[in-house]
Amino acid sequence: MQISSLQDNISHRPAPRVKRRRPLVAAIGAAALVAAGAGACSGTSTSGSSGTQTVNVFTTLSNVIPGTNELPWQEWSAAFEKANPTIKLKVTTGTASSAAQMYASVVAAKKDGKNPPIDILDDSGYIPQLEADGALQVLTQAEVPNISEVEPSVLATYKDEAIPYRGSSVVLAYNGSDVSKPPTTLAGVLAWIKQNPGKFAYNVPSGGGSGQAFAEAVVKSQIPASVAPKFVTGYNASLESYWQPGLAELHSLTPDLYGGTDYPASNNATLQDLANGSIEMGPVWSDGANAALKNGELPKTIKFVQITPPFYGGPSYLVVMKNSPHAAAAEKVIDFMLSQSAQALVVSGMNGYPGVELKYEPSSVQKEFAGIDTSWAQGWYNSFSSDLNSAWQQSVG
Amino acid sequence: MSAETALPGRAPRRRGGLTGLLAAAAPAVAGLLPVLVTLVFVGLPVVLAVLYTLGYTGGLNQPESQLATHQIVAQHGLTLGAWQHIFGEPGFLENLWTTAWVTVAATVALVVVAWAIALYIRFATGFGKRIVSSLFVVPIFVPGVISSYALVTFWQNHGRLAGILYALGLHTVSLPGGTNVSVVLGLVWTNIPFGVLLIAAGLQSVPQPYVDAARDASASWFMIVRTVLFPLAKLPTLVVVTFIAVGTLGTYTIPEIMGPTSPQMLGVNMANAYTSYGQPQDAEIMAVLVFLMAIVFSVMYVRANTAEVRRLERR
Repeated sequence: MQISSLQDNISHRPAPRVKRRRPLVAAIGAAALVAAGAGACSGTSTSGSSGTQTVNVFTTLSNVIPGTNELPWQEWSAAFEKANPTIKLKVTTGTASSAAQMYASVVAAKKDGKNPPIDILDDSGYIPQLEADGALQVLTQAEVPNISEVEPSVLATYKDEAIPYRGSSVVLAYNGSDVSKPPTTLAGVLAWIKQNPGKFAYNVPSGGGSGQAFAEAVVKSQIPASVAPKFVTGYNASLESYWQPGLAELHSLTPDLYGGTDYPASNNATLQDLANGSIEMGPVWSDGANAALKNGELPKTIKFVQITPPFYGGPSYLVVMKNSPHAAAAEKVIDFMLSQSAQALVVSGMNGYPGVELKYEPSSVQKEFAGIDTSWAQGWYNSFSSDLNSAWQQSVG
Repeated sequence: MSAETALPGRAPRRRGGLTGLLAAAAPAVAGLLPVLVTLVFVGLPVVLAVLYTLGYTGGLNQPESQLATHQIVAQHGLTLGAWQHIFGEPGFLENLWTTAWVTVAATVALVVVAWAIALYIRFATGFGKRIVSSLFVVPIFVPGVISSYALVTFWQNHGRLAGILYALGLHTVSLPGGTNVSVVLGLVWTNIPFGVLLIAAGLQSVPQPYVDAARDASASWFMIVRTVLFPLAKLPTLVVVTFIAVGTLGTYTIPEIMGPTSPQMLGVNMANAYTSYGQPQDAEIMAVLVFLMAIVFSVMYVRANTAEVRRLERR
């Protein structure tokens, strides 16, 4: 019954799924975490007896701390509850399929005029759709004072309904002991690959965002500038004929890549190839690579640079559901996540870019990101990315 | 206990109405329960998947089809369009062929290895036997993800094996890491415990007097294996062949971690089509194909099994 009432809402657009990384650890941890979270998955919001409120937060496995299978929310909710003793956070971690169920139940609850099953969502994959469905609450400085520190243009993306609280992008990693002058443009990277055969690798686009970002950047570079923005905003399969020159370019790179046709399976595999010296350069996620550098999985000689035009990246958003019975408490959570203390946790724990503008960050954070170009390109609409994965597999891999 | 039933001269009240009906029907329902559960949890999804591959996107297929791209929908009735489309893709045909040969190669290799180890355990004595019979079960305790990862880092380029070979002066040996040969090796490694346990159990159950009698008739060791042990351990061997072949057809973890980017086995291709390409219809066509191939193996097994049972009964 619920499903059939949903169809009108979702029939015209394929669901954008989380398109970011697919770390192996997440896959391994999935079963355990789902089992652990099963009890918390009831989806009903409960109010405590003595004036304490419980805010239901839904996050997904794509939000694990890079390089681990731990969830940052354990630390964040502990810090929040310490500061707000009357509010408890109940964090549920979903897989891709339970996120789809969550989405369906949110839309169904909205249709039936019931309270949404969750209050806060931390998952960028479903936000475009929830926004289109009118299921999200507008957040302003009145409810969340710290919004004043967020870059206004990023808030505008989802009409003030989604609050960016951290970010990351794909960057070019290189081994400083082998490469003294890294290329700074995409054309420069392509030339470098051909001049240094066997020293560059990017992962299978379907295996993770960093390889996908590289493939997308190369394909995009061959698309007329007037057409390129159309791949970000919506889906129209007939535009994919513009991909041919880019796919041919990628195909021509294969003999000069490390391992030839045997591509790294994931972002982690690229990091390992960098770490053991198999390759000197490759695209990686900024947060995962920073984490690997800090805990010694990558040698200190590995450096990062963003090229022009930049690889894709983007913020992770928090949203509050419309009609949430705990809206006021949920707004406090969002405000807390933008506060200096929480942003410091976000930056140190996730190795991500901060969600608020750097000038509002503690000086330690400002120092860490000083001089790093944290710009990124907007990723393609999810269905285009899925089709590119498939087209790449057919004609390149 | 109600007082009513204790009163003398009155027949105990018979349960009537709905309760009685339910009580009477209970055994029948209980008997049907396994059938119902099987139908609902196995039959229905299979039927739905097959219908979806034939272009039926209504009913319970609707939520899935609405998340899909590039699917072929039947306007009236059913259509083979999606099947025709996927069989026209060279990449897919290559993956299908890879799945077939990897399955056959892994199964044959496993049976050979498992028989060799089982025979060693059957005939060897002393220290060697103890070592082998405790070592062969090790892969059972290593989760598939971990073992495939460990194996591939061992024999990939720049891996441990390459390091050892390099130190020995062998600089240009090509290693199987990242090829489908390494998938076969990985499958054999992880399935050794299952194969050896079954075949060794079959061999142990052959009474020693049979072997001794053959020896007394001056049969060679090979002849004993061929004419005494093999026929009597045929059934466990068949079980191994069927289960390994059926399991390999749809296997995901080992080819995903150890295999090449292309060609892939259908298990990997299926998962990619579903999660990364947004094409559940293609994924389900592959699932149906794997299902059909598994049926072929299962029919072979059932037929051989029945023949074997009949033969044993005749004796």
